[in-house]
Amino acid sequence: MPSLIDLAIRNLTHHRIRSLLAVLAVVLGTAVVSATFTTNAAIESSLQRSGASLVGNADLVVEAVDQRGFPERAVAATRAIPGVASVAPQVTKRTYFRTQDQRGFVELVGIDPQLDPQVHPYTVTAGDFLTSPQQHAVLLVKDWADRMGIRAGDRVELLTTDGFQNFDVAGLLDEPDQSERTSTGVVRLPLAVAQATFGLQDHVDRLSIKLTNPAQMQAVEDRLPDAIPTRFLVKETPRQLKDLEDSIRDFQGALLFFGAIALVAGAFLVFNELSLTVVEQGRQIGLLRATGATAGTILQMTMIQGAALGVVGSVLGVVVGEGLARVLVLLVGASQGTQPPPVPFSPLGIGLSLIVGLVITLGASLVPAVEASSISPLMALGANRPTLSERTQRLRTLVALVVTALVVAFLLRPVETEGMRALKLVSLLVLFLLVIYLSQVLVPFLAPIVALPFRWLFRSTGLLAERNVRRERARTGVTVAGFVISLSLIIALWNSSTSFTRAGEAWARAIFPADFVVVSAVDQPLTLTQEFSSLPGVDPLSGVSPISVFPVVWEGYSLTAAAVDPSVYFQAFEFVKGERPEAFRAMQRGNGVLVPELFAREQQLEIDDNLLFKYGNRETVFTVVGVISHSLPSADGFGTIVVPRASAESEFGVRDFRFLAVRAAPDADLRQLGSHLGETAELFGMESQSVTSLRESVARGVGGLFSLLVGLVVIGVVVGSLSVVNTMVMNIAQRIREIATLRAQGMTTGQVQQLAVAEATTMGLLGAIVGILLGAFVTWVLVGLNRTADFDPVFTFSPQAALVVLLLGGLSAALAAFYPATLAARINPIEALRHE
Amino acid sequence: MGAILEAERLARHFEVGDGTVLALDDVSFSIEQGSFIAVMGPSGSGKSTLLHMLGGLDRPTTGRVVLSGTDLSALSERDLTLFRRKATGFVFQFFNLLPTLNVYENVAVPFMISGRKSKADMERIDDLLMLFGLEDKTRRPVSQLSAGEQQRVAIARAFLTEPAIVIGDEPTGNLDSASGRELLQLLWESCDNYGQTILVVTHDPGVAIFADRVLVLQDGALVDDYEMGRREQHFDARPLLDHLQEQGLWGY
Repeated sequence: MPSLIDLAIRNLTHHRIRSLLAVLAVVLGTAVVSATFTTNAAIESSLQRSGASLVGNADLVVEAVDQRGFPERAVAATRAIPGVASVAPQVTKRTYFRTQDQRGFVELVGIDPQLDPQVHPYTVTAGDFLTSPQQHAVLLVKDWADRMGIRAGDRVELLTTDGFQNFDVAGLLDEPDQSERTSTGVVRLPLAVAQATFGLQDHVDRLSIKLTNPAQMQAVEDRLPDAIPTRFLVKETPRQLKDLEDSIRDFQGALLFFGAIALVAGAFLVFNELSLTVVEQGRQIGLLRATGATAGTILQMTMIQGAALGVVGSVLGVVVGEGLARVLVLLVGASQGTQPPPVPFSPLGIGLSLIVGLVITLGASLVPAVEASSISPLMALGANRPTLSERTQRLRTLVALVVTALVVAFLLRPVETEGMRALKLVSLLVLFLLVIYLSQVLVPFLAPIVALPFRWLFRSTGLLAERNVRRERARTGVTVAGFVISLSLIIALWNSSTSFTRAGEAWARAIFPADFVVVSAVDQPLTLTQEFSSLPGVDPLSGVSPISVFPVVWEGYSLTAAAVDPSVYFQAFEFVKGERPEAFRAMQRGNGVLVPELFAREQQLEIDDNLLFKYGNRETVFTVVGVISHSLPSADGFGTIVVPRASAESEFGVRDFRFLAVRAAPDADLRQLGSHLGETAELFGMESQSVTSLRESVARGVGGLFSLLVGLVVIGVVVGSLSVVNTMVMNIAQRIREIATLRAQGMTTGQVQQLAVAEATTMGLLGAIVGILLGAFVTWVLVGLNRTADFDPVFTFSPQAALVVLLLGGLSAALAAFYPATLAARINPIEALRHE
Repeated sequence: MGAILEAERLARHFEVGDGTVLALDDVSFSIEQGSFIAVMGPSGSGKSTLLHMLGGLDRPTTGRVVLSGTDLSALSERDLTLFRRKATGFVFQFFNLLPTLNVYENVAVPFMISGRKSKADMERIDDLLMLFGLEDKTRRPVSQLSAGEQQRVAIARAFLTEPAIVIGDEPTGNLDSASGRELLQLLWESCDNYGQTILVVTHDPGVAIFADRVLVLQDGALVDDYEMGRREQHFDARPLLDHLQEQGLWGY
């Protein structure tokens, strides 16, 4: 005696291909979600390791706000605060290193060899830890040292205030290699040696504080201003770790968003499969109802079918997802230029993926199950299934249209708060669901236009294909929606990537109006510019323009100022307020200042406002002559304020530089000049890079990340294609008599295949067209969401992207039609005469 | 008039499991152009199999069908399909109209398939719509028509290419008796007025009385070939029923 489960399973195995497609869709959807969980876990665990190495097990970290740091006496004063168990002081500085084979910038960290291990758990993998405060030796991070070919016991040269000096490599530390993110290695050496050798006497940048009782944190924080005379920032360790986690939250969110989209697409296929089964088995279900099966029994039976698809698909999906996670992690590493983090085994992630896969599948099964349970026993006797009244359908569509209009109106509003930003991302997801629902409304309007090429190409079969697409609106709508989701995301990612890359390039162009940039880790004397201006190929008039970077204080804010030559920077920067010619004329005359937009907005600064800047013991009034969108980057996140070189020199005595903007002569050989600049820069511990390669590296960074997301979305296109196979197989199964009639009347097998391909391709193209429109809107929203003061992407619509999406939608649907077309062509015309 | 269709020693075997089922056994007959033929017989007698052979939908295991001088068994699958386009028309019990097309488009399907759209072709469609009383319903979806109207659309479609033979499979099987009679009257008139050859398969002697000749099949064999003469001479079913009873062929 077969049970309900037997009946459900038999229904599934009766339609092997369709069930297989539905399972495959769930597998892909769950795999993407599972891979997303695992990838995010891998990134998070790597981040936590980085966090641990950064803040160690200190309870509080106090950092100096300006570059002069704290006086050394602040260390003893802090140690004397009740509740403080120990204080480990650190000093940091960027400098240049070289060995026989390698060279580059490093982050120097001076530590106390006795105190620091109390707050930072160091693991020495080779050599020894620092043994004395005066030891002329360094500790290196093992992975970085390996890449540089340095071993414990070797020597490295570091650029000190007295030129390059040799340091012994005392040992190698096992900790995350942050040079992968920052492109500079970390070199630790005794604090006293760092202070003496790098001009940092009586200077401490950071205090790591261990408390006797973490509950006393607030009390200790309250006493810190008494102990530290200069401005400082307090970072509580848990908060700092949270900040680190927040920094990757957007990326993790994006991965999850695309994972969810893939799963939703998979769920649609399950919905499709079960809906079609219910339609197909209406009479059989009616018979079961007539023989006494309750509506609940039918509901259960359909839900069991959904659950079976969900369980099989989710389990397989998790297995595939673990493999996919490894690929994603590799891609993340490749896009960020870092070593891929190890992939952890996460039973929680696996469990969660299984649950999500199953719940989504059951959710997708619910509507078909309710429909099945509402089938009347009369259907066994040939009665037709009652359908929704026109009025109800219209009402539903109207409600969906109104909600869509409201969501779009909300998304069109500018972003004002972080909460609104999050709400906008949720609204985007809601918009996707609404478009999915409304796809069936759009199909009848768009199908005649989209099918025009087929009507022209295939004539009668094109017409029949177009009519078939319009005929099953709900089914076609769901199938088209599958394409809309994935193809719109490709458009959105492609266009956003272009917008962000252009914004990045604009930033690079705006802040370095030159062909090459020479960067120094330390302040260099202005006299050194002659070494570069005399190189062959450098423009003789305005070839080398030094840029100084120095700290200034305005109304208690510690800001970074960049001093530039106004005549060289005349074409640079994007002006948000103020007139370019007047601004630069004012800067050439004297104390004009350009301020970054974000800072101007926060401080409500306007043109002609006077600002009193302090540097050391000097202070001078500057007048705001322009507000600019991009500026040189600064640690405070505002970007640098820009002042004229002459004023910086006369008012503050700034006579050194950090960057050199180098222009090539019109007839110069850029490659040769690049090579000369590189060699000269190296002599003085600096690095040279062409602005083109700077722009390219910006483009690579953005492009790499977006390619990763596009990779996920392409899985959605595969699911969409599976949906086409499923729908077409069902369509053909339902139209056997029609196709047989056409065959009996002389339609060739080739024409039948044309019909199937044209029908499927029309669906794919419909998805592509709606996807292009939706994708353009999503791009607009994403560009708005990512607009900040120093990053100003502009909406871009790429016709190439639209063309690729059209081809992708059309071709993948046409390929997906191959199997159903073969089935259709096999239909025997005799079927037209079959009576049942 | 000469024979438009010749069936010569038709046999059709089907492999079922380990055995063979003989659906049609050594059936021979010929049909003259412009005649109205009814094929009768109990379920399983081979009526459908014969219909498939005559319509070029299936091939005999042995024997041959010659329609309009063309030996169907000599044609390739593709040529047979192309031959069906112009030489056969079908009328089905369930009408088999395409729900996505309107009345006009359903009638035009055979021309659509062939890519024909000359002025003469368009006039032919209009003529048939007029002939079958559908001229004021051309743009209507077929789902909005009555069963009788739907079958008239199906007949107009079958007649469109002026085929050598129109084959009907229980054409009135899904109609009420009044609509059925009206439809048979139309078929008979087209046969009488335009010389259209018609062959219908039916269980119903009420349908068969419209024919000039009744072929009776039993267990795959042609057991009776009854010439009834023109319809005007046999308005009721009595003579046919008497004949079938005499032959022991009624009451199945």
